[in-house]
Amino acid sequence: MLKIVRNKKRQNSSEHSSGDQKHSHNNEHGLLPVRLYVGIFIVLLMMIFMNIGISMLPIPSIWIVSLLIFVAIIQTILVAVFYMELIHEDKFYSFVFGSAVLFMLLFFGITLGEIRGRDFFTATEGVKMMRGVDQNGNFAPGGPKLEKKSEGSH
Amino acid sequence: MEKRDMGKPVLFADMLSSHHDTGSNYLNAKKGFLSWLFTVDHKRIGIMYFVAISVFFLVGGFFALLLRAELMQERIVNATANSYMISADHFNEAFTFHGSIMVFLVIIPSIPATLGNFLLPLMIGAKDVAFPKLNLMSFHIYIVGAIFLVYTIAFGGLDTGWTFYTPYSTETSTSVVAAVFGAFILGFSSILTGLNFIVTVHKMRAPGMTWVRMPLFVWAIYATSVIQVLATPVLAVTLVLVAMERLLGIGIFDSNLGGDPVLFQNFFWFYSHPAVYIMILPAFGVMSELITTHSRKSIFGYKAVAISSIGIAVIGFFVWGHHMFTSGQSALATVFFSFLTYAVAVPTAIKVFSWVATLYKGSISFTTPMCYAFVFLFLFLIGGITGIFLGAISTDVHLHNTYFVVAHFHYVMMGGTLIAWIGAIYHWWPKITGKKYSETWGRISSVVVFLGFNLTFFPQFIMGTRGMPRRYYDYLPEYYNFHVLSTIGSWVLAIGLFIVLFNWLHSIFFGKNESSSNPWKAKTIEWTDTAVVPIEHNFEKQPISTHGPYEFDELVKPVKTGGH
Amino acid sequence: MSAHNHEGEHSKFLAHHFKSMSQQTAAGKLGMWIFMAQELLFFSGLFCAYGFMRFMYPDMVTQGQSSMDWRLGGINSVILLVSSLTMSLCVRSARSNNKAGTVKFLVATMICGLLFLVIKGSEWGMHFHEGYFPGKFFNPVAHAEIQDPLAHIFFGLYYVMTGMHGLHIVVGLGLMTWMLVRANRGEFSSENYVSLENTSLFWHLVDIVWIFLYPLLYLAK
Repeated sequence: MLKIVRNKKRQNSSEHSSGDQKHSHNNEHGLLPVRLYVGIFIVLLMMIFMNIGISMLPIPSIWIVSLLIFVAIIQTILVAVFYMELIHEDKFYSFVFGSAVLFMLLFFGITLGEIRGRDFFTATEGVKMMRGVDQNGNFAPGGPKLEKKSEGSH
Repeated sequence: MEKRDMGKPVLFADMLSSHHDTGSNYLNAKKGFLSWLFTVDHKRIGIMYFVAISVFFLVGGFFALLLRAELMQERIVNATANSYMISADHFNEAFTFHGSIMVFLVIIPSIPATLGNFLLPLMIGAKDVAFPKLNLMSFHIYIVGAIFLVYTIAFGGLDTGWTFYTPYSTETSTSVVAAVFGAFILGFSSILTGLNFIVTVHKMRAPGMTWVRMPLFVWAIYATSVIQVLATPVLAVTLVLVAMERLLGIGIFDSNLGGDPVLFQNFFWFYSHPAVYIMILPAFGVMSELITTHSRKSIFGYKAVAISSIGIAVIGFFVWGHHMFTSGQSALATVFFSFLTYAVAVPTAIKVFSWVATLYKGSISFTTPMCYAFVFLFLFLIGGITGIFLGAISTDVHLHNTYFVVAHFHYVMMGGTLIAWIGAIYHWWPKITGKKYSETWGRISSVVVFLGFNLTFFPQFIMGTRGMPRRYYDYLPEYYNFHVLSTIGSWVLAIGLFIVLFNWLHSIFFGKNESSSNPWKAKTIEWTDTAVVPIEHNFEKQPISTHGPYEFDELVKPVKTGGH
Repeated sequence: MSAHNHEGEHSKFLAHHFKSMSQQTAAGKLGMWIFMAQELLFFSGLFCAYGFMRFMYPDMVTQGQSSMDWRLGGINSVILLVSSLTMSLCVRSARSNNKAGTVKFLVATMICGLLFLVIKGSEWGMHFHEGYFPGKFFNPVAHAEIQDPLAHIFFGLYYVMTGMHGLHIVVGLGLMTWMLVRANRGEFSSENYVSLENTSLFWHLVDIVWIFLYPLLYLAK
C-alpha cells in the first residue's frame, strides 16, 4: 500500500509542476502543494501509532482516555484544516463546523453531567446512587434480569 | 393550452389563473399533475406542502375531537377498560395519533415548509432557493414519511404517546420500529429544508440587502433553520437507537437490559425542546410582518427582535431538562435547566414588548390578518406565562403530567403557531392565489376560533392545578364539569376552523380576482416587486434593495409639541 | 475576484437560479458544510451513549474491549488515512484539470474503502464466532473469554456504532462511484469541481468519526 503512495508521489511531483502553472488561473484559492498533503499524512500516521502507544502506558485509565481524546482532537483539527481545506476557505465554514462541535460538546457535557450528578445533593447524607447493584451486590428489582443471580458487575 | 382534469392541483391552478388576463404566472405556467409533482419551483412546492399539511391537520383534529368526546361522557362507577365510547387502548392510540400527526406532520413543517418556501426567495429578491431539486426531494421525503407514520400508527396500534418513552416503547408489542422509522424519514425532510434555507439566506440575497434590511420573517426562518439542522439529527439517532433497542436489545434505554430510561428522555428532549422553537420562531416572524404592515408602522427595535430570534435558537438548546424535572434526573441538572428556562423567556418577552410597542400610535386596521395577530398576542401570552409556572421546580412537581401542561402547550403551539399560520395565509393570500377572500367571514372566524379555543383550553388549566392527570382515559367525577366545558369549546373551535377552511375554498372557487399587486401597501420585496401573482421565476428584473423592510410612508414620528 | 457574467458567457454547468459559477460553488460548499454539521450531531448521540455506558459499567467495558483486536483496528485506521490522502489528491487533480489523476485517486480511495469494510466485516465475523452477538442475541460460547452477563450492552453499542460508520462508508463509496462515472466523462475541471469536493468532505468526516471510534472502542481500556 505504501508502494502505491510512493508511486503516486512520483507521479505527483511531475503533476506538481504543471499544477503550478495552473495556479494563477484559479479564481478560488490556490492549490496546496502535494508535499503538504503527504506531510500531513505522515504526521497523522505517527499520531495513530502514538495513540496505540499511549494505550499501553501503565498509567490510570482516566489519563489514558484523556490523552487519547486529546490526540484524536489534534488529528481531527489537522484533517479539517488541511484535508478539508478549512485553512483557506471562507472562515464561515470553520464557524459552522466549530459551532456544531460546540453544540455536540455541550450535549455530551450536560447529559453526562446529569448522569454523573444524580447523587450530587444526597451523597453527603449517605445516600449513594449505586450503579448496577445494591450494597449486597444484587441488581435492583427494576434492573437487568439475568439468569445468574448476583453475579453482576461490581 | 391543453387542459387535463387530473386532480386537485390542476383544477385549482386553472381556477386561480383562468380569470387573469395578466398573462402567465407560476400557477398556470406549466399544466398537469406531473408538472406539480416534479416541479422545482419553490412556490408550487410551498402550495403542495400547504395542501398536505391542511389534510393532516384535519385528520389530527378529528382525533382530538374524538378524545374530547370520550372525555365528556358521564363517568361510570367501577369503570373498566371498555366502559366508554372508545376503549382504553383505543384512547391511548388516539392521543398517540393526535400528538404524532400534529407535532411531526403539521406544526413543525407548518410555517417553514409552506410560507418559508413560498416567501423566502421572494422576500430576499432571489429567483428560487439555493437547491431547488433538494427542495423537491424534501417534499417527497415528507410525503413518504407521512404516509409511513400515519399507516403504521393507524394500523399498528401504537400507543406510547408521541414521546415514545422507554421502557414501554422498547417492550410493547405495537409497531414502534415502523413508527420511529417514519419519524426518522420526516426528520430528513426537516434537515434538508433547513439546510436549503440557510444557504439561500447567506448566498442569494438581492444586491443592497444587508442583514439588517431583511424582513424579520427571514430572520425568523433563518434561526428556525439553524435549529432544524442542529437538533433534528439527534432525534434521528435517538430513534435509531430505540429501534436497535427493540430489535437487538442493546441495553441503553431499557433498565431490564441494563439501560437507563432517563437517558432516552435526555436524548429525546435534546431534539424535542428545540423543536418547539422550530414551531414558534416562524410564528414570531409572521407576527412581525403582520403587525407592522397592518398598523403601518415600523417595528419597534428591529435589531432587538432580529437578535432575539437567534438568542432563542441558541439558548433553547440548553433547556431540555425542564421536561424531566420529575423523572429522576439529577437535582443539580434540574436547577441548571430551570435557570436557563427562565433565561430563554427573556428574548421571547423582548419580542412581545416590541410588537406591542409597534402597535402604539400605529394606524391599526382590523383586517383579518390583524385580528389573528391580536388573537396570537393574547393566546401566546397566556401560553408563555404558564410556561414560566412550569419552569419553576417547586410548582412543576405538582403540575407535571397534568392538564395544566396540556393547556400550556396547546396555548403556545396552537394558540401561537397555528393562529399565526392562519393569519399569515390570510395576509399573503392575495399574493399566493390572486384572489380576494371574504373579510367579514375572516373576522368572524377569528372571533369564533378565539372563543372556542379559550373555552376548550382554559378549563384545562384549572383542572390541571386541581390534579387531573393527562393522557388518562378515566377520571374522578370532580373534573367532569371542566371536561364538558372543554369539549363544547372544542366544537366551537372546530366550527371556527371550518369557517376558515370554507372561506379559503370559497375564495379559490368563487372569489373575485385581486387586482392590486400590493393590497396591504407593504414595503417588502415580495409585495412591491412582483405582479399580482408572481411569475414563474419571481421577478422580471433583479430587485435591488434600497430601504429597510418597514419604512412606511406614514411613519409615525413623535410629536414634539405635546400629546394629541 | 469573481467573474463578471456577461450574456454569452454562461458556463454550461451554471444552474438557472444562480447568477455566477462562483455563487453556485460557494452555495454548494456551504450546503455541504451544514450537512456535515448535522452528520456530526448524528454521531454525537452514539458517542454520548458510549459515554453513558462507560460511566455505568467501567469494568464490563474493559472486559469487552479485551476482545477487540487493536492491530486490525490500527490497520483500518491506516487504510482510512491513506484513503483520506488519496481523496484530497483526487480533488487537487480535478482542480488541476488532470483527468487521469482524478480517476486514479478516486479508484484508490474506493479500494481503501472496500478494504476497510472487508477488515471490519472479518472482525465482526470473529466476534460472531465467539458468540458475541449484539444485545439480546448475546450468547458467548463456553470457551469465550467474556462471560459478563451485561456485556451485551458493550457489544450492542459496538455493532451499532461501527455499523453506522460502515453504513456511511458504503454511502461514501456510492457517492464516489457516481463521481467516478462523471470523472470518466470528463466533467470535472478547475471550474467545475464542487461535487467532487463535497464528496471528499463527506469522506473526511467519515475518517474523523473513525479517528474517535478507534481509540474509544479499541484502545481506551
